[in-house]
Amino acid sequence: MRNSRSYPAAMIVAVGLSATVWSDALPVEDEQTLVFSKPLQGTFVLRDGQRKRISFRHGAHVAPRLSPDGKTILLHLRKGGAMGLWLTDIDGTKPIRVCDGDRAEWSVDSQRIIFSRQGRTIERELASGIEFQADPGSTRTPVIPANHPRNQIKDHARLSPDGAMLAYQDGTHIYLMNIQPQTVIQLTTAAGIQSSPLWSADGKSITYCQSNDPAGPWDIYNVEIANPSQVRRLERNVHRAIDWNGVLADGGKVNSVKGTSLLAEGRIGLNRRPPVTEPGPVIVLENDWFRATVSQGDNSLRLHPKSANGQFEASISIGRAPSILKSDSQEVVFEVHLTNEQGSPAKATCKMFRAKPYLEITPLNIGDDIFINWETDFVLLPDRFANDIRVSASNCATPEAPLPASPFLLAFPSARDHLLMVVTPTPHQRSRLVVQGKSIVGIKTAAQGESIFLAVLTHETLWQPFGPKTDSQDQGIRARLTFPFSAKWRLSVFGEKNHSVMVDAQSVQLSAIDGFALSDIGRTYPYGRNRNTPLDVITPEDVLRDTVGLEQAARVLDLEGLGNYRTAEPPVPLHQLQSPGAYSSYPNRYSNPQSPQRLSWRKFAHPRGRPFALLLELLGGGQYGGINMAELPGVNAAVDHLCEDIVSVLQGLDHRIREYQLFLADFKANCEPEHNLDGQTGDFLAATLHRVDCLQIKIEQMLPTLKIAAVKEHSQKVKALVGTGGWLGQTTEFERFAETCLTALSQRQNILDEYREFVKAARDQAAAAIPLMPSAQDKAEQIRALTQKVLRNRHYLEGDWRGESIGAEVIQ
Amino acid sequence: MTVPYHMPGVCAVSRVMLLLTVFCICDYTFAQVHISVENTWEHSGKLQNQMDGKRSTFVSHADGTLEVRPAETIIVSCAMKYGVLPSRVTDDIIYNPNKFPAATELHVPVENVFMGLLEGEDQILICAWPGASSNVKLLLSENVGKGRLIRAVEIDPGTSIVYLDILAAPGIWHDQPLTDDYLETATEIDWKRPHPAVWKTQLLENGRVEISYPFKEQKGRSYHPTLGSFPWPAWFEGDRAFLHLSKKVLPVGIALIYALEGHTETPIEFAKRHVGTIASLQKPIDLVWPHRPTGVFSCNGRDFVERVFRANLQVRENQLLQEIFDDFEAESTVCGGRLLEYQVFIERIKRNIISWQQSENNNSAIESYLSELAEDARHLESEYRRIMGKRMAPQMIKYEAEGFQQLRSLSKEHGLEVYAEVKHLLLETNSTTDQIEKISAVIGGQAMKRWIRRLTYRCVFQPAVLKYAQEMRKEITEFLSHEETWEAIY
Repeated sequence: MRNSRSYPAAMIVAVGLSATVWSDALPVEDEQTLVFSKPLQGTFVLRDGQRKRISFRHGAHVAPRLSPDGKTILLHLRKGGAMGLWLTDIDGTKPIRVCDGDRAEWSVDSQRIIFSRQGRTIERELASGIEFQADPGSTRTPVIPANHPRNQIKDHARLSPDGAMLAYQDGTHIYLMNIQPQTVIQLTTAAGIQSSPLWSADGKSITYCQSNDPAGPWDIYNVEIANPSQVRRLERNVHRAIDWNGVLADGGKVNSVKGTSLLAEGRIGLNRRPPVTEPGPVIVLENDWFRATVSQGDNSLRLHPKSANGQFEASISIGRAPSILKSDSQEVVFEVHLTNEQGSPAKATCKMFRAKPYLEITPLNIGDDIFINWETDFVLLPDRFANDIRVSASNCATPEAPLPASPFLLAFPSARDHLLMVVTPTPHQRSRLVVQGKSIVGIKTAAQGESIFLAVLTHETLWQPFGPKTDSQDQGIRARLTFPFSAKWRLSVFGEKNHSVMVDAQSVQLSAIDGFALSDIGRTYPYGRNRNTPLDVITPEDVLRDTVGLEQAARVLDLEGLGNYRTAEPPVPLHQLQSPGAYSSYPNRYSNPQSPQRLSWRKFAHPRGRPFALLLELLGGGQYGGINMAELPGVNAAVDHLCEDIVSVLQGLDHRIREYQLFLADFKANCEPEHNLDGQTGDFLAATLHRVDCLQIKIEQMLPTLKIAAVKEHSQKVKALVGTGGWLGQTTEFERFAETCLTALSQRQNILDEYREFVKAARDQAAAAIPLMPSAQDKAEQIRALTQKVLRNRHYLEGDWRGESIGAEVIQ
Repeated sequence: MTVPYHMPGVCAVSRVMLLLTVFCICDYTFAQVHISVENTWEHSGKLQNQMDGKRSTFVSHADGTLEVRPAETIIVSCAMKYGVLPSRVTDDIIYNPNKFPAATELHVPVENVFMGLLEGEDQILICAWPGASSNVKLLLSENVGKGRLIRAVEIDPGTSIVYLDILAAPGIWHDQPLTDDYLETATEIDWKRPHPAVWKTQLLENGRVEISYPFKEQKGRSYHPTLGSFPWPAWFEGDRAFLHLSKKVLPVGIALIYALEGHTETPIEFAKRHVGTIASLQKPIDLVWPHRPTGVFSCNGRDFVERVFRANLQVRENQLLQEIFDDFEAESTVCGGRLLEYQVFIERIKRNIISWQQSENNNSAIESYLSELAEDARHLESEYRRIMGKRMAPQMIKYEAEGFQQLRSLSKEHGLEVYAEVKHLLLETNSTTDQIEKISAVIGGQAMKRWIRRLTYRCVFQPAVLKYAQEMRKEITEFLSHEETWEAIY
């Protein structure tokens, strides 16, 4: 009986990380093989710059593993429903099935594999096919290979070939830990998520996966440990489970990244304050994004963006010169004395990092506020469920006006090459805008004893103003915008009402956003990254992910709510054809919402109706062919299914209408004025209730006149044509069915448009009320929470997606 | 000596004013009936001429057709700018007298119908006769230069009845010079169709072969194995006619526009009325393929299948997929089987030519023509073998069948992970189908059409070889009249 001692001791190591980890297979010096699986394309080997498909099967579960001798590849393939282990040689000869199993790894001598089957860990001799149960007495859970896909990104820990270092992922980056003495450096500094490190055979470089989204798809990069400022992209669009046995990779596209140095100058010494009597700066800390200084006699810590036009932008008042607690090549930690209104002593710890564009500030006491001096025209709080919120001094009723709850806020300085961002990641951290006269002088944050982050984002052009064209008669916004780089851009325009959209591209044509005056202003700024965003650009979403972690960032941004549609009714299967990214443009480029009446099943003019039209297309011809109504069981079944799909789409929309109706009842109950409310709050709620009443009257007049039963009746006539022969699309029955369906769809979409517009407006109004009517803050936040609850549900044919994608689940 | 034969009278209720003069020409060697068409004619009863014991009968029908039962050679005289030997299968042969500057007459291996496009673009002469092919001679005007015309059509008396008519309408045919202005741009031409019909024009496809393109009723794109997707070069928008030429269909020479069918005033309809069905003028394809009931076939079918898998619906719609794969297989079998017919056909033609050579070994003129035919046949065979490559038809069909079998198997598996393989198989089987279709389109649709043009034009000066030209034309036409492959589909 063999057990895990047959494997090198390095294969299972305990280094204080949460997961049991496996080492890389022993490297082979003369091999340069990269194996990976690409979504919807298959599994490939990259050797000598040549890519060869070794299997048509794809998926994260394929997890190809190179044998230590570099001659064989182990694959996890599910064929006929059962997961099995397959072997192929390095040239990709047709894979041969070995046995049932999952989560397989090689032995060092390449003669055996260890894998999981029905909860047991099995070892198998490949030549003889003899199997052994590994670790029969062990009570620990079966080991999981480090590259095996899991739902969440964990520590993908890998020992270096010489066993001296460990590479692992923590959050969005890969770190290197020296085992003895135990020191850690952040290896990757590019924006986005870096995962699944694999050591090179010589231990001098690491190949890893990089993505803008935890769900992938991923790109494969290689970084030389001695030169982490340059990374080399080897392959695009893969599943994260890859394997590699090369040394420093050749070829690929070289990208430069920031975050290579942290300078600490001045009179710095650990655990002491610098003397303040001498002239010159007391402290100068500098990374690739900003410089933090404290000068003699200056009771503030000043932040200077490192950009062409970057000038002093923000500062934190401190009582005296800071004390340095830690200073090394990775970070400088120092303690500052905050000045607060009560005059009581207050302290905070500040961290500045080599590889991060922000300063982390953690007050020692729960009750201490952090005041950031920050002169700006307005602050912007992104709100992707409705429209971004713009707060200026004129919107504030008090010198310290509360701000709506938001995980981060942005300020736009005079120069367009940098942005300032304050991250308050936990919901109970509330900020107030400090106003003097008509100016904003800063932000005060009740950090509740937890960290807040002050980030400085820089790029040649990071934000742009835009607004209505001066020659536009109706003062609507019509513009073609070109951005300095591809990203998930946010476009927000502010006037009597606000309007915000996401643009996942490098340029966009805005054809009609009506109802804005020439004096209204707009901003475009990078919100998050897409697959083409340069690695040296850090977006607000990157900062949030880096500061609070991937899972927490997803929670606070409610990415699930933004990125997916959900109703109680299951969507029709064919909606998946309208998947995001490379596979479709739905929900399209979001810039041109049109009325549902313009939907045409043959013209596809309307992205909102496209998945629906696709069903009609499959039935009745057009771009994708159609069905000839032959007397065949398959034809009969398909016509039946597709008709049912159409009906279920409409039923889903009806269900969504009911969701809104229930929301409205709940909303109304929440807005009923209570006896102890002050006047401002009461007025606000009364106005809100009035709008609800107006909406209900309007909706009453719009309720669908075309019932599902009528659609079903027409579908029966279509189904009755099976066996009559000829193209369904050429029959009058189908034409009538299509017209009925589209009318029914339009009627429902119109109602949902009204509901959604109302809810978004209510959310905007509640947010705007918070700095204007501080006493209404709690009620307004309640309304915002309620609106988010209904807005985070969205039928995929419900309008006004405004650039929010329907998620990446289809790619997996 | 020419003796005018005067008609007894002219009907007053004529649809078109006509003047018909029948001449009886006699000399020592031959006798001819000479019909001079100055405008058009109509019925006026039965005429007869008789000389030296030979009698020709003329019947003027109520619809304006002149029926001639000739005792002698018929000469129909009128000023024709082009002669047209129509064929719906192998495409029409155009006789432009300006291309034969040294000739005084041209011999044409007509099967049953011949057309003359009269000067002025408003009249077409139609000559049709039932039964066996007849030799036709085009007599050219004596002047030289661009304005040269066909002055008369001489029809051999081998046939018992000849029907003649003049179709008249303004713009009943049109001669459109093509320039680079038509390249990659939709250009309206200065011509309006006089009535609805299947109007067509010959254009140079791939710079190699003249192909007849019917005018469509709207602008659009089309697919052909030799061209891939391409903008359809001729269409109407209401009364306006447009041409859009490209690198695939070049703007070279002229676009000669006329209609063969689709209206009573067209040659095919005329021939149908008087002569009945003529093989070379039959519609070569019936687009309803009864053995493929699902109807989702070929490119569209593959798109359909791909989308079903992409939506992970393959298990739900498995029955339909199986039926579609049945269709794919049927298509593959038919098209693949067709390739084998080429081999048989070429062998048969080669044998025929050898046999003709043996029987004509004393006639050097005919021998030379037959040698050229033999050389052409060898060239066609080598082209066929070249384009077939290493894989022969049975192998292709087998390869496709294996692909369909794999697709059938994958359609029973749930999940997107089968998608890549499905897509690959669809592409692969489609590519094989394309290759099979392309072979028939290239060999049958191009090489054999070029061949039939060559062998037809070659006999313009060699009346002795007309019978072989007619025989070859008949063989090739019969072979290319296939319903489901791409030799003659447009």
